[in-house]
Amino acid sequence: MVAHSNLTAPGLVEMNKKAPQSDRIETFAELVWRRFRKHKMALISAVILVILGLISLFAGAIESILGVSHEIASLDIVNLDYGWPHILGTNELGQDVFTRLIYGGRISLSVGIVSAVTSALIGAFTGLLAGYYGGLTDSILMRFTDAMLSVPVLPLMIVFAALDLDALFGTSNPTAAAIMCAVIAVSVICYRYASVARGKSDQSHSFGRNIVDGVIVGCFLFAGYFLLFRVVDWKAVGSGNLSSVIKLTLIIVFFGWMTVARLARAAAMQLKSMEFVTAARALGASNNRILLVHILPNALAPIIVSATLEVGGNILYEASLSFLGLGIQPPVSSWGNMLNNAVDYIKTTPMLAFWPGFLILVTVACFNFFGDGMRDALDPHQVMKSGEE
Amino acid sequence: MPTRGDGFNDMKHLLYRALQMIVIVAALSVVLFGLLSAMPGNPVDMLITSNPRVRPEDVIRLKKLRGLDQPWYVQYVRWMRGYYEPHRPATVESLGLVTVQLDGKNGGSASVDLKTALRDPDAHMSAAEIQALIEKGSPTLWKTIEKDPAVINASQADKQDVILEQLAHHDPDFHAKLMQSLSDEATGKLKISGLFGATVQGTRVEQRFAEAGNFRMWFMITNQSGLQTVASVPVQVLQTPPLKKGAGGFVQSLLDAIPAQIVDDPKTFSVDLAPYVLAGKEMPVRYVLDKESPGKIDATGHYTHEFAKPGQTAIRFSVVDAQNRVTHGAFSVEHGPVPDKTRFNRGFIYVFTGDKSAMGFSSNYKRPVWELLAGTDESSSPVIVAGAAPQTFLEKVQHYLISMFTQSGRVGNTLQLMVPAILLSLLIALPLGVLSAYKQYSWLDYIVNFLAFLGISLPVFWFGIMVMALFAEQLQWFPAGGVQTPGIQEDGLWAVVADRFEHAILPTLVLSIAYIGRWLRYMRASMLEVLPADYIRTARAKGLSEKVVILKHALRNALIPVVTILALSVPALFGGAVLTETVFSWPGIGRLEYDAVMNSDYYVAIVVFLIAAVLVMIGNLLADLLYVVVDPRIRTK
Repeated sequence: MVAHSNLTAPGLVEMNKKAPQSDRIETFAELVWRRFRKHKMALISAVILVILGLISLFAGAIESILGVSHEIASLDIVNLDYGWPHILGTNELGQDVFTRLIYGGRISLSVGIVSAVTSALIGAFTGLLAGYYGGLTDSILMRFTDAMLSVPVLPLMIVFAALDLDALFGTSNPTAAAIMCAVIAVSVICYRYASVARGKSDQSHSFGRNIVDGVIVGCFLFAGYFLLFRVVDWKAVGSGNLSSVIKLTLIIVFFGWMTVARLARAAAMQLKSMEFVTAARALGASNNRILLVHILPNALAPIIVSATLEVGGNILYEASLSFLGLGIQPPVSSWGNMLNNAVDYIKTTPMLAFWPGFLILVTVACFNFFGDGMRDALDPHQVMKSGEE
Repeated sequence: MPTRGDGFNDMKHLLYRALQMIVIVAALSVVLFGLLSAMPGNPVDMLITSNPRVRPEDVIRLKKLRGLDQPWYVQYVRWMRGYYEPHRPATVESLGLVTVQLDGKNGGSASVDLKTALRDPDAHMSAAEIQALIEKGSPTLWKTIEKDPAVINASQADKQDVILEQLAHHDPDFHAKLMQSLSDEATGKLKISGLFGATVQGTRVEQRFAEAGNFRMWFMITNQSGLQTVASVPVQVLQTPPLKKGAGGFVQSLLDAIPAQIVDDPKTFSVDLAPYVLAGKEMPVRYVLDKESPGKIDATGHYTHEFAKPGQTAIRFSVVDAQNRVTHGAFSVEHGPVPDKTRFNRGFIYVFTGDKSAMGFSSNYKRPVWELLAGTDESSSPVIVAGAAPQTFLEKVQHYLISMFTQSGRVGNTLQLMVPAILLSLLIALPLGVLSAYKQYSWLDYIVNFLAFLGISLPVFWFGIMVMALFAEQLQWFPAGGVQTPGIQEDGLWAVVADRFEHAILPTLVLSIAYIGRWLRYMRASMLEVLPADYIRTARAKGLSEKVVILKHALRNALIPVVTILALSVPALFGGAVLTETVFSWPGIGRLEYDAVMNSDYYVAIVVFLIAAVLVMIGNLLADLLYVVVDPRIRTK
């Protein structure tokens, strides 16, 4: 999955593309659109996704037009069949299934998209840093990613979802945390010395530089600890209607950023030895500028593609956990927890279970097709690999 | 690098990987333990209270020894290594009132025999000692107990308990007699000493009283580990002839009974004695601490002491009122549990030494975790199969197979689901992937690709529900869930096999469907990358048949990246197994893990998770090995 995104850099793209029909030079956006258009399924998927997005955006309006309620349980209209105004009938509590599906779509879509974007941001940040600077950051990140990849994720998610965030973060000992951070800082310093001594590190740092690095790492860790354990009011996060949504998003982000991190790292490692980076450095650009202005835009393609593909996976995770009763908690509806309730009525009203799952399938498939189209459009290496151009 | 031979590098690589995995699993167990301690409802307490052998009165002592008042990492170490069980102080049953007649000038002598009231919960005998006693009493009985599977499988730590349980089961009378003699022997070892003028002869406590009134006769029991317990007998001393009217009546005791005290803080202890003094409000009293008792007592009756060592200590004191009437009182303070060095509760690490019971006990299923996972095997409890006992070799084999199939345990059930699912997915995905790559842009390619996409996007659990609703509920072709029909083992081997197969069809299909899509796409992509390569053109140019070119030259190279992907998807497969098992009520370890987390069954949660992680690691190692087999270049690198 190495990104040959240098080809999408504006200057190179123009050399790469076929002779234009007119004299006007095709812009990057036009090029992407031309490639994306070719993928018919991706186009259809994009349309479906837009429709789904709009419907869930106007959920409130649709509910008031139909004059039904997705939340209020009324026992005299339990398990209704199709009809008007209950288009898809009602569930075992007398709530309208159609509007519940719409509201559930709102939650499922936003959990999927928000967690994908957040994990892409985190992954891009860590991956680019690791790939560009290499060294300790790189090896820690990669060991951690290896570990996460070789662990059954769903059972771990189950454990996380059953956790009490307040108990996890609310009660802790700052002294112990400070000691832990100090230990890690000291081990960073030792590691630096060891790697220099073994000749593994090409940079030979001065004594002071190593110490400063270690102290910085320790301070960062402690700041992170402070933010997580002291500043954020987990009791407030843990209560309220949307607490389960926030928690689930956090869990999915926690387990989801590694793929993007790996891609970004690979892209950064490849790009940092490119001529245009060397040129920028020769012109006196700082590391930050090189990373932000030169490497990030060129590494964006695989990150975007991967984030798009991840939305589908995240929706599936959300649905799986909610189905197990660990994710989104009622009265907030999501496709997953609608399925959870419907299983008990599978004999009498199987369609209750059909619709949420069907929508999950459609949405996830659309995101996958859309992501595939994006890959074709943004990541020409893949296109060339499948022999189209 | 100097070349040291291919095998060396392979071995080095594999060893490195294995080491890495061990580190990951160990780190995972630490993280998991830390996380579990953040679960609602004080979960780690369950590690103790779920153990059936823990007596309720010991829970507080055990919690201290187990480190439950410590941070989670201390608890983790104790969970791994194990902990000593606590010494228990001797107890005395409450004794009834003793009435004494004053006899002229000699006074009256109160006396009570503690033999039946005294109990030493700390008394225990090793399994060997109990065995010797039983063998002496009835050798034939020992032979039956010895062969009992429960005794064979019991760990060293609780073997004696299991033997006694079995004895009670086989011969209740003998068990009662043995227990009586054991307890007699144990109480004989206790040291009883009288307090405040009481004397002790054997188990009999005596005291002389010179005046009439209500008193308490105090005594102290010290067990072998030095834990002190104080107790008292109420004594009523009557005057003969009775006192004349108006002569004062009985002298009232100044003190109420003081219950045994427990130190919450590891060191400091304080108790207010004033509430227990009956006369305190009407007249001022002084408190005098006994010389042998540690600590301080102030004028208001506030007792304080900092205990340096854990144990149970008797505190004696006297209450003196304005008329110099003296009442003695005592109470015992338990300041920390004393570990019993002879009885060690083994931690999880002892699983690696072969002690299966060290895995713990499931509070949810009320069974040892090991039994849950592996099922009860043939040696521990023979399956009841209808008809006579197996005679011929063939019958024995059948009998063995039936018990193996029907008691496969949680791990066995999951493997029975996962291995066929993996094989099925491979069998469908790889040929289809090769075919659709070979015929790129054909209608077959499009359809296969589209279906593969749908397969990836399919929510496994929903597909399971739908399949079950259709085939099990509506059409009734297959059973709706479970792993086998109860009682099927009586219908013979083939019925068992057919029944399990029937139950497994739907879950296996559902589990494999997602992986067919994923692996098919990888296979196709990998094949597409290989097909335009030069060596394929060369192979064709040599005039090799298309079959040989595709299967031998292309496929073998295309498989290399696919093998890695296969290994990496084993964890995900396990996750899929959790969902599939939930939908189909398949009693596998995925379902077990879910139930354990939901029901705070923490021994099970940790162990199952570690097992899953190890399974995944083994999958990864296998993939590494396969990688070497598939790609000869690695060997020569």
